[in-house]
Amino acid sequence: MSASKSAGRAGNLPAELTSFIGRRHEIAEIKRLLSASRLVTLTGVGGAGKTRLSLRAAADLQRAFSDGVWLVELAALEDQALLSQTIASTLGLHDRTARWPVPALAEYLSDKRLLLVLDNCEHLRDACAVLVDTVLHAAPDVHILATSRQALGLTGEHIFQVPTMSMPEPDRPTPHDALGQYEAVNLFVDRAVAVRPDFEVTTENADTIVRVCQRLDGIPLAIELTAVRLRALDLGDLLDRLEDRFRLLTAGSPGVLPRHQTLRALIDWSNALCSERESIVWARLSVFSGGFDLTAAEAVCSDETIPEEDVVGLLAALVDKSIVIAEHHNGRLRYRLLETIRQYGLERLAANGDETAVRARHRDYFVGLVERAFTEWLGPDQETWLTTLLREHNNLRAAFEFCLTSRDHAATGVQMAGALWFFWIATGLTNEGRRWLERGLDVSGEASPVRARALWVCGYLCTIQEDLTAARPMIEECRSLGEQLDDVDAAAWAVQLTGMMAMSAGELADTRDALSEALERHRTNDNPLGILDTSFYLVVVTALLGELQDAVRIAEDAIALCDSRGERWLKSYMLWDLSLVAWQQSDYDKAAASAMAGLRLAREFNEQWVIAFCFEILAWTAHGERTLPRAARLFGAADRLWRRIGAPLFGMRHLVTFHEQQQEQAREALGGRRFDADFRDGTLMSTDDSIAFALDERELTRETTAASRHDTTLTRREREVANLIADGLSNKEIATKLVIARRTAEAHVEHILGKLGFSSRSQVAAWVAEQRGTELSAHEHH
Amino acid sequence: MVDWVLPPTQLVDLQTAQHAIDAASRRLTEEGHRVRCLHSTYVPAQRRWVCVFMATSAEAIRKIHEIAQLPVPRVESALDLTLVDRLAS
Repeated sequence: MSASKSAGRAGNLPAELTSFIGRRHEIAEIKRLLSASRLVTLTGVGGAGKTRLSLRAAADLQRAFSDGVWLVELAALEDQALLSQTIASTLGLHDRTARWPVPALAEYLSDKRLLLVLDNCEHLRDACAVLVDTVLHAAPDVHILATSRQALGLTGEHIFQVPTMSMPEPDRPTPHDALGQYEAVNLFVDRAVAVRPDFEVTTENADTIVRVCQRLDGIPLAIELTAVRLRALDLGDLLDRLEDRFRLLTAGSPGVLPRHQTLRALIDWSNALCSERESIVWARLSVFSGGFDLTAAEAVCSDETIPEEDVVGLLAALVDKSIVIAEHHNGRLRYRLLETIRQYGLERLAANGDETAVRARHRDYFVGLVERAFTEWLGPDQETWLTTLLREHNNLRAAFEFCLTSRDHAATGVQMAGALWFFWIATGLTNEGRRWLERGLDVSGEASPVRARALWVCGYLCTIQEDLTAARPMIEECRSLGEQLDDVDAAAWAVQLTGMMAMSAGELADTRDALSEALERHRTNDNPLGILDTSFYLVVVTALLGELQDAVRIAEDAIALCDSRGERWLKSYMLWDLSLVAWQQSDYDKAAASAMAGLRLAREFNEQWVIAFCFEILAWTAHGERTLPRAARLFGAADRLWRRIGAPLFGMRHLVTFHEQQQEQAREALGGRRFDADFRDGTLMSTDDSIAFALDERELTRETTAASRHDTTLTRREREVANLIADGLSNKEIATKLVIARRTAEAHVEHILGKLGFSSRSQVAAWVAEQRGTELSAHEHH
Repeated sequence: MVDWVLPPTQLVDLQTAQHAIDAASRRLTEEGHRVRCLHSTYVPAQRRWVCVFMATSAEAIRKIHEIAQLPVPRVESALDLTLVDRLAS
């Protein structure tokens, strides 16, 4: 696993969309409990406000957790096997290994000081409890705030029963100007003003407001659903209808409904106030998991009874009634249902008898989306596709679940999981990809091109996880299916994977032969994805075999293909390839330039592998250029990523040997203590900071800036060298210019970096520019 | 009994996995299932992990692995021969 750039932001708490009312005592108590215990669970009925309360308390605690406060929304997650993967994804970790997710997550958290907010644990209670127990055992500075209708049942768990909102006691008249002390009243008035801006508490309506709040038991969601009715009803009518509704449920006796029934009655009432078509759309929308946009709603909710063009109006009506929440995300409107409302909708959907048909439409919509993404992936919209699929991740999971619970639908699940090849890799969700693929392949045995694709995709994921035992039979079946079905693409991928397996085993010549054959096959098949992917591995192995010109040619062909299509994700890999070859040719400038270009692209996609690869090459080139503190720091930054991604440099013996040699030599040259200190600084940098450092985008850290002040006295010769560095000269050019040996020039550069506490030549250049500016202004002053 | 060959795995991961298995066993026991991990042995040279459970059904053992978010293994019946001998005598 590796930390993504989001990990550097220390948290992901969402902004509040509506005002937060009251709950001061509860927030204080939750904070007190979290200071005394590492696990606090907020329990209470649906609609009691557990989520809002947890988020507000967590927001108040952000400063106490240096590694951030992280919200993990679990309502949409149905498969408990994906719990730790979901938490890892939220934390911005990329799991590229075959490691079990729980140990990987526990290890990542072991040295972190952070607060995890696990929201809506009730349906995954056992898995949540075991995971929380394991994490708390492994990570002494991690605290967990959970919300659940039922406590997790762990030793040491502090349970906070979320109370309903405070409200005036029944039968005790409260003056209208004293109502502001009651949370339920404040919430009702706040939401009422939102739909009726002229609404206010007066002597005349105070008693009615109090009675409404009492009728609703002070349950926040019930109050919100009711207040919105003021758009169409006046307050008196609202209370009358509310009491009529409750009288029916309690056979005429007032105020005896248990709280969970109060909310249920309210939601029933909301449903009753919907038109029949609105009610149907509400039920259908509940199959979405993690929200939806209008296009998806139109595709899933329409049929012969509700034409597609009517869905937008019905959706708007549900937004007006606060059944559906509309939110803007990055300029796009997205919708969601609160979990309590969604569960109600699912019940109605099952009762209506059209759940299977609606779920099939939901699946078909996302199959279409995924296939389009697969087709268009090698194009200019890669980042958009990745963002879209990540946004729809929960819907994809829901579609998988639907497919894989029945043999009839399994082939579609296999189709989807296979089409998401790039998604599983680019997001680091290799374990999840394997899970869906393996489940699908188990259930669906039909020989088809779809199965063949799923086999190579799953075999690919197993291979990059170095789980060759699992990969081998899949590749064999893929090869056999390719022959049986005359599926030339499947056959080519099978050859490629055979090469990749040989690469894992360190058999370079076999790898080159298989990959060369695969490349030819992909070219014959006019399969650009296959061409690019094979090229990446073929360049590495060709370069390691010393066939550097061939390696450059393959890499440049692949880059030209990327450019012709506007492709940038695989191009980042190819640029790293080029940097490796240039480094082997001792062309450090070219190696660094290629690695930096690759790193810039990799940053766009948060492509952790390429980021780590590029740190490596930049460390090697820094060592080659004798900028040793920079090399040490980059080795540290790479080490941090490799530890979490898995086997460094694919575990390839040859590359690992390069790494070990370069690191050891840099350590010897810089001195153990200094190297270790810089290396450690590198491991402590966030991924964002490391990238900025590697690209020379960021000024020195405070620590190195302070160090640079210690000794800025350069010798005359060192000043000359510094000036030449600032003029952009390489060590070789400096040596020529000053008529000194290259080694002497390198030693001067090393001394300059050491004296100034810098780690790169560009920092020296910036320092020289600053010195020149200072000298100039001093001259002017005199 | 669960007997499987693992991909390359660090010992610390096995320890964490074992912790999760024990926690899952306790939960299932509290819920009325009779299931317990009696012992767990790892053979590094073969990357072999053998866990012996006492359980009323293979399903309970699979459930433990699901809750612990570990791959669901093949579960085989096994007899403790030392116990059989003792019972016989």
